[in-house]
Amino acid sequence: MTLLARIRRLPLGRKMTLLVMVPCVAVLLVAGSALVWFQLRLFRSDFARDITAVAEIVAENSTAAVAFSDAADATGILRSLRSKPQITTAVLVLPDGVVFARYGSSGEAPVRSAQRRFTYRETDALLVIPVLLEGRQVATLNVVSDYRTVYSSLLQLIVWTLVLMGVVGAGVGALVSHRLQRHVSAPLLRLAGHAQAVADRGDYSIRAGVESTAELAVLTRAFNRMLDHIQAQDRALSHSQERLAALVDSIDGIVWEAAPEDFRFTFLSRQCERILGYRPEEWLERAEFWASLVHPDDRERVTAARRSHVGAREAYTLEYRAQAADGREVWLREGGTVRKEEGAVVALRGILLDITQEKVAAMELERLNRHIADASRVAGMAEVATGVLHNVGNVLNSVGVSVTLVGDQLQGSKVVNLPRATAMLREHQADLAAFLTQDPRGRLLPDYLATVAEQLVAERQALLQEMAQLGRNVDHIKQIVAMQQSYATVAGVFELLDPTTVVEDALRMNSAAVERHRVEVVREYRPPLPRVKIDRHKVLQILINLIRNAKYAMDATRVDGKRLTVRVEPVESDRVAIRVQDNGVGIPAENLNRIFGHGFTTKKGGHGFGLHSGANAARSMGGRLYVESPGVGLGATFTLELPVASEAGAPEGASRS
Amino acid sequence: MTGSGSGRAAGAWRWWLWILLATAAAAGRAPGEFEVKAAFLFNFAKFVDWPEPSPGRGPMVIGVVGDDPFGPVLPQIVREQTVRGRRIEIRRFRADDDFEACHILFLSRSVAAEAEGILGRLRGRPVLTVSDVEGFAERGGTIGFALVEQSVRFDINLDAATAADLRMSAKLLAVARKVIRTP
Repeated sequence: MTLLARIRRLPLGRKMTLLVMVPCVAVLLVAGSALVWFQLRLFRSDFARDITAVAEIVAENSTAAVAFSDAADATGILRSLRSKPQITTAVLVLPDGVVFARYGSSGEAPVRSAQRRFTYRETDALLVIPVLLEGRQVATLNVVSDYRTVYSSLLQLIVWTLVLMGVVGAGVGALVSHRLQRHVSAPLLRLAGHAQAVADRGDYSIRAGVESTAELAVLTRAFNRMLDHIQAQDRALSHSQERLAALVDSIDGIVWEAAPEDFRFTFLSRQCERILGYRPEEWLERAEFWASLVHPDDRERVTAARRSHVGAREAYTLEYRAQAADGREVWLREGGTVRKEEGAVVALRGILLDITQEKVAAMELERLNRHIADASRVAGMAEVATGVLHNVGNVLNSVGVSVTLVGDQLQGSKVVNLPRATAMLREHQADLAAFLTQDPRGRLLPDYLATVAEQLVAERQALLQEMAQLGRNVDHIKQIVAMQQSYATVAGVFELLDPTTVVEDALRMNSAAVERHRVEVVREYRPPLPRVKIDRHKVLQILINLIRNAKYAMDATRVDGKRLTVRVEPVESDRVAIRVQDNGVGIPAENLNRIFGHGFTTKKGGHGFGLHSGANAARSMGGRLYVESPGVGLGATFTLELPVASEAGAPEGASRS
Repeated sequence: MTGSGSGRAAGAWRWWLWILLATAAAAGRAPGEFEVKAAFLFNFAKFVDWPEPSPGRGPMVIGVVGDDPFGPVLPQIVREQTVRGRRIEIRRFRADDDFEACHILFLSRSVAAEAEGILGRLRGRPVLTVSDVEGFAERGGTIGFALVEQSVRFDINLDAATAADLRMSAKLLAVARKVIRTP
């Protein structure tokens, strides 16, 4: 492993040398080993053949000497073996074991054998060869030869040859690898040098010289083309960067980036100079710069909120006040996103917007809204008051009628004739009886008085009746006023109420008008009706408005059969619906959406405020107001949905709108 | 090459010779002169080439003229032996017999007087004449035995051999004591 790793770390040139040298040396070693082995085998067989050939000649030549017992001649023949220095001993031994002739000195007992054999022994080789004459063995020749001298000289030769081969092989390898390097690795290294230069200096205009070798030329061209690409991309990138920077700086807000740990700003767009009067450089210099800008009242809140958002890794929006360089208070809206890489938060990015104008406008709007709300409240009150006055006026009408009636009655009263009767009676006080019996006028008087009395009784009766009516009407007025007062005092307070009581109050307040316009009122209360928690005043305003609208809608179309249906029913267990249905003009589909808009009206002199404020009021109580109409001429149903009071007591639906 | 070489080799040779003699003496039975001569006679057949086809494919004949000095030795030696695939046959002749069919003819000392005549009769015939008559080779015989220091040696008259159309092996010539030839 370590060796492989080390090879992997070698420079290309070394690797190339290794690549050439290792096979060279390996081939040389294998070839050398094979050569040694082959040479040794060859040597052994050659040696044996050589010795055997000589011994055969000697054996052949010595046949005559043996045949004719010429030991001297045999010895002479054996001595001819001197020419082979490796032969140390030669012995001719007769079949009866007698040594016939001997060359060299050896105490070794000679071997008799009919078989020829060559035996390598530890230090020498023994050749036993039969001497044959006419197919008969006449003696045995033993030849002992020392192969080691020859062997060692041969080994020496082989070793030297191998060394020479090794040296030559290494030299050739070095030469080849050097040539190869010049053609293969050197261009690569040059290319690598170019790449290094490009990487070091970031200078993409560097180009490598084209190489002659096909692959290297391809590589070089590819390298250069890649550089072209990179350069083009680099240029495009810097263009787009410039454009991006211009765009970022032209955004009407401060684009920023900050470190997530300490919220130190790492980038700020140029706009921060325009919005806050600080250059980005002075801002980026100090870590606590931002904190020093933020209004002390907002600092803690904003810091905590930002930390928790970053902790939860979610985008956020915060608004706070900051002090500009010239001391202005600037409202800022900070939008931030968390940039994650492999699960870790690496940066925060976002934009700071100057929302001072917006804030001022919002405050103005709020003020206006409050004003409008007050106005609407006054208007609502006025509307209620109008209703009240209307009712009161109606009742007063009756009162007026009663008063006129009483006046007329009193005017035409027969009581004015009584003084003449009484004067006549006082005139005839003395002769009252005669007067009453003889005088034609006197005789009529009793009947007259009786008639007057009857008339007076009848008058009294009528006046009493009228008085009772008057009294009732006055009571009615009182009642109306009292009701009005009760609504006026509870405004803005939520109460637990049976919804029908409010409905009844609303109907009562409109009763005079409803009666006058001959509208049939149908009540459909569908129990069980849970109690609702509502602002009685607001609901009453809404209902009065709805009833009035219904009446108006019916006036426009028909004279008879006007029917107003008021239905109160529970909806989905948590709401109660109060539906005011009329059979009037209806509402065209295109107006269904606009009808609750501010300023929408179809009435002459209407201000278009009623339904709008009604819808708002319903929403503020957690309910809603909506309309359904099958179409023009088919009537309409306005529904006010109100939340059922929960046991806890708070207006449950207040938070959902 | 006999007797030549370094002094040390000659010394060793002598030493070995002494051991050889001592061993032979110890055996108590040194081979007799005629036993050796009989063996030599037979061995000559192996180192001499006779011209073809003169004696044909028949047995190789060794003839003895005159009194046979070998007795039973010679037949014993050649019994069951072959030379170049031919059996050996021993024939005995008198001096006036026809012995031209012989391959080897041994002239015993008893016919020494007729040796000249026999050699004259065999002139041009491929017969190897052998004898232990003194100076046989010098007198026109082919091989003549001689005793040298108790051992049997022989001289070869190469001219006679050539005349008889016999070819002598160089090895045979090498072991001869003396080779006679006209320069």
